[in-house]
Amino acid sequence: MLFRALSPFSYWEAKSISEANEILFSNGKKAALLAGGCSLFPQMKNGLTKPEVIVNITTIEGLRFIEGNRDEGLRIGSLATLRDGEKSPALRQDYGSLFDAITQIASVQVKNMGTIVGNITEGTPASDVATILTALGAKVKIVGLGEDKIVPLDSFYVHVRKTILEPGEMITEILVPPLPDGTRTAFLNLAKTKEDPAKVNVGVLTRVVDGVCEEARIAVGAVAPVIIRAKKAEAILQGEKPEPSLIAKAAEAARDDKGVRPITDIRSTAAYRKEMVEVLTRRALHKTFQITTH
Amino acid sequence: MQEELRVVGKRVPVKENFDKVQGKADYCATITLPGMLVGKLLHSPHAHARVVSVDTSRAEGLQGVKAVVTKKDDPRKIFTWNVMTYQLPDGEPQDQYIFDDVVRYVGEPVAAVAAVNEEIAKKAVDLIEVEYDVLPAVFSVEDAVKKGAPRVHDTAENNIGAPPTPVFCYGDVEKDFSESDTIVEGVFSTSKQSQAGLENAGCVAEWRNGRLTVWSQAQLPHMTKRMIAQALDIPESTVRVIQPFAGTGFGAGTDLCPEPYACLLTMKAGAPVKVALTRSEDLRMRFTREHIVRVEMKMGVKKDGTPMALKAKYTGDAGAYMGKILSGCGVALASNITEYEFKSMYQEIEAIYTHHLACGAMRGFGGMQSTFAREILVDEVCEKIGMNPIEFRKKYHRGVGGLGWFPDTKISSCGLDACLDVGAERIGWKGKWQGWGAKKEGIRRRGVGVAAMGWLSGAQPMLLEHTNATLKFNSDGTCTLIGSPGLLGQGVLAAHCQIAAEVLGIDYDDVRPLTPQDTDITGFDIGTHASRGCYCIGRAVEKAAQQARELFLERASKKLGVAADALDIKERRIFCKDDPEKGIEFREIAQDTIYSFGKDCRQITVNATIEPTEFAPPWQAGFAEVEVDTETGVVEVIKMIIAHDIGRAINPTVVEGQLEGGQLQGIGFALFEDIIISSENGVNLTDSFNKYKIASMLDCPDHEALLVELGDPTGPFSAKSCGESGIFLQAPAIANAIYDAVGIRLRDVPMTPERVLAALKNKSSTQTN
Ligand SMILES: Cc1cc2nc3c(=O)[nH]c(=O)nc-3n(C[C@H](O)[C@H](O)[C@H](O)COP(=O)(O)OP(=O)(O)OC[C@H]3O[C@@H](n4cnc5c(N)ncnc54)[C@H](O)[C@@H]3O)c2cc1C
Repeated sequence: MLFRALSPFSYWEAKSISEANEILFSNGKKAALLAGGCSLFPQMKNGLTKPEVIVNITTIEGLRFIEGNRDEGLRIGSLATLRDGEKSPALRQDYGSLFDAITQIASVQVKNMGTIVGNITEGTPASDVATILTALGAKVKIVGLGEDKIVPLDSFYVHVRKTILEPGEMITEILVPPLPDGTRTAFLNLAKTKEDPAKVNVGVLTRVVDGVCEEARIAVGAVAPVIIRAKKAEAILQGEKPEPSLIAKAAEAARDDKGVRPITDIRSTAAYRKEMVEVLTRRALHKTFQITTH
Repeated sequence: MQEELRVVGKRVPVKENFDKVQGKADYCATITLPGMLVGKLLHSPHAHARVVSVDTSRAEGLQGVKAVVTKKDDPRKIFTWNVMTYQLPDGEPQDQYIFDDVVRYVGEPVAAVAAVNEEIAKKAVDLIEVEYDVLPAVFSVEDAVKKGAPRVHDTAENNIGAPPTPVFCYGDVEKDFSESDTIVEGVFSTSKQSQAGLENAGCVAEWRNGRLTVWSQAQLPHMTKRMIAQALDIPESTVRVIQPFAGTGFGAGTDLCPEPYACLLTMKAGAPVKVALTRSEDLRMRFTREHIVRVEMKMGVKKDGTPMALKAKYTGDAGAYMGKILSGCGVALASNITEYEFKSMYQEIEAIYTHHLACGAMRGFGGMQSTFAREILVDEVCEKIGMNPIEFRKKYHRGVGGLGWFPDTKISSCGLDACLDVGAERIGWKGKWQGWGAKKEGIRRRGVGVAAMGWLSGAQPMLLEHTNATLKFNSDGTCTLIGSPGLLGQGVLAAHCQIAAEVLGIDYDDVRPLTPQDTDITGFDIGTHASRGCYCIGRAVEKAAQQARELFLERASKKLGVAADALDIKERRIFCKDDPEKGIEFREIAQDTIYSFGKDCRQITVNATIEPTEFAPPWQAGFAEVEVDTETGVVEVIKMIIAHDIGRAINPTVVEGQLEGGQLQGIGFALFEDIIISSENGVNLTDSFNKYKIASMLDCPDHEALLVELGDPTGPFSAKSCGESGIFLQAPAIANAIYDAVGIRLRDVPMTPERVLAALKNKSSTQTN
């Protein structure tokens, strides 16, 4: 008998991407796209968003796929669920850090319903999935009424729950680049309980060729309105031998990055979050550089 | 103890669970009555304000609205949501009105609406216009007692609800401290935990033909009836409280919550009204755990550990009303007396009003807080005198005949030594504890810790623990057990049925407990609190069953022509002890009591009253093994063992279930559960399960609850209590294990990674200085 009255809305089930684009475009900011609903519905129930038009895209065929491997790169269709990701051999074998980020999401129900694309489009800086995808250099394919766009994830977010998506646009897939030889990745996070959003999370990708770090990408979540890249830290590692002392320096640089400006809230304190950026970055780098510590 | 038990001690299924797992059990949330309206509350957005006016005209004008109530409808009888107040001769303080002229916490109801559906009720609530005169508010006990601080109640100068008051002191602490070789002390703080029941606070009220029926989650239905009558200024007999199953408990049902509003609404609307709170409302307005915000404790011992003096002060943050803060502090104090044989003790309690939500009670009432402080200090003492912490506990705990919580009470049994032994064995204490000051290396370090406690089985003789149990027999030899423990999922009805069946020599299936419980049917009972359900109510059931047994034997003796005391009952058959072949089916006698054509009809219905006086504490030892990450401050509980002195487990599955559930809540209390109230505006920042985190299965470490069954001379079939006990020892055992791992002493609950890390830094900076 108890319910939370939602504001009235009209409801559409799109049969094709272009149909979705059109309904979304003609309704502008009044419209919302629905995938698994794990974040859209709670937001509607709490009155944070009141869409007048809802376009369900789960009725579009051909968008639920995860394809590829570390040599070719990975394509994640917009209707692939978190559970699909968890079960995908490509993720488990070739993109272990992405698998780690997905599998540690505590709620099986959420993993069954929620899509990977929905997770990253929600636009919360605490998203574990978006942080590791940022480190992996993932791009999203945006399809609207105009030209298709392919945008790197680290320029996709504008602010908390704000992305560059324009009315009428949707993401059709995520493109994760191949992992050339010598590339390793790692994901780590800290949370109050197993199913609480991260206090802070870190995703790292490094490529070592002949003992030298040729590439380093470090993404940090929940420390700013958007997921950030710790570029100073990356630069410290670039072209260098990954010794523990250098890694320690890089981790400190990540902590001190001016992009790292966490807040104090019910989940943690700004000071703790900042400090954990260093610890998690160091640990993630140790993992990718295969340095064992105690 | 009986030589051979057939029903008691068996893992029989809890009868109500069949309905529950099939979704057929009724809760306040599921009850619907013909013509039932939906009630919604209007909450104050301010922590402190004078309610200047409440304009309900627009709400009343809305189609579908049947009643709007405000302070104009309140009979203005002072009362308290704390329905336990009448367990003391003078009661606990009463300082509430249903609607007052002043609101004292964010979320306090200002008006309520009943309408034909929830949507309209919500709209109507939004149409009520309230003019507030917003007043300054105070959010901590430290600020509240400052000169010139905003007053929560005009009558409470400096916001002092109760000034520091010594209770149950004995001996000369100053002298004993001066003769102590080692003294340790500390100031501890604990959090305002939420009971966080699965079912939010809710009730249904119906005013019909001059009677008020309330379907409530109350754990104490009879006293709930009295308090509702008082608040509404109507005779107690006009009120009837029915308790369907409650999807909550843990103490939440020892206070009213939506009941007074639902009652006012139904009386005005003339139709039944359901008020079911949302999770956010539940977290903002249901009285929380007794908030003993500060515990100052000091203890002195001799070189060999002999406990000399203990001094403590418990400061309660009452919040806006006194609720149960005084009894909470009182229990912290009283429960601290029993554990160790101190030569002298001086303890005091105080309570201070703030503009927070008031406190009720939660599992581990008061004892959580004193146990946390005491067990950590005991660990410190042991280190200082170089004693094994298990040995100290074994050597100096009080034993049989020792002082109970209350003056002149004596401990009836004590199985703590065995608890310490089996717990130590299970955790592997011998290999894992490397003595004081053992050097540990590495980023992640492991440690083990121990803690102990003694609790109670009902708060007699301090509090009224009057209980009635009735057995009413059917012609087929089965019976209905009519009692009123409050149906909070604790499984105690299974134990009651087992006790009755055992005494009567019939089967578990032959005894059916009355559900839902109804104050028009059940005899007076205090209800469930203070872990009394099995011990106190069980004794009334045992007594009723014994009386019924006698009646059956008398009747059988006439039939068989054998003296009643020569007869016995087993497996539904009454027989001669000397000649077991000679006998009669229990059912036949039952049939004869009802369909007697020899003009001897007399349905067997017996009622037994119990007013227990004995003090039967269950004891417990807790062992934690943790791994502390010195870089993140994260404490991982590797294993948590509790060994519980239950006397006898009437139903081991139910006992283990209680203890294991307690473990999870205890881990939440120890590590992360915390209601956070903004110190700027008094808003509860953790008003959803997304923000107020309780442990889920995934947060549950390897754990075990071991039962020690050495009996108690006073309990039914020698049972003691287990309802609250599971929750106490996680926090102190984990704190002590953290010390063993990394050498820091934490004094604040929850022990978050942030606090652990700060303490680690503090330690390394004081070491380098
Ligand atoms: C209890 C719980 C626990 C969680 N724990 C974690 C966790 O530990 N770590 C973590 O990273 N996340 C966590 N999440 C977040 C969860 O993963 C996301 O809510 C979920 O994946 C969102 O996907 P969805 O398909 O349900 O999105 P929806 O709710 O359907 O959509 C979310 C948003 O994305 C938009 N959107 C969806 N698809 C597209 C598209 N193709 N193109 C454009 N816009 C689109 C929608 O319009 C909406 O604004 C948790 C969520 C819950 C409820």
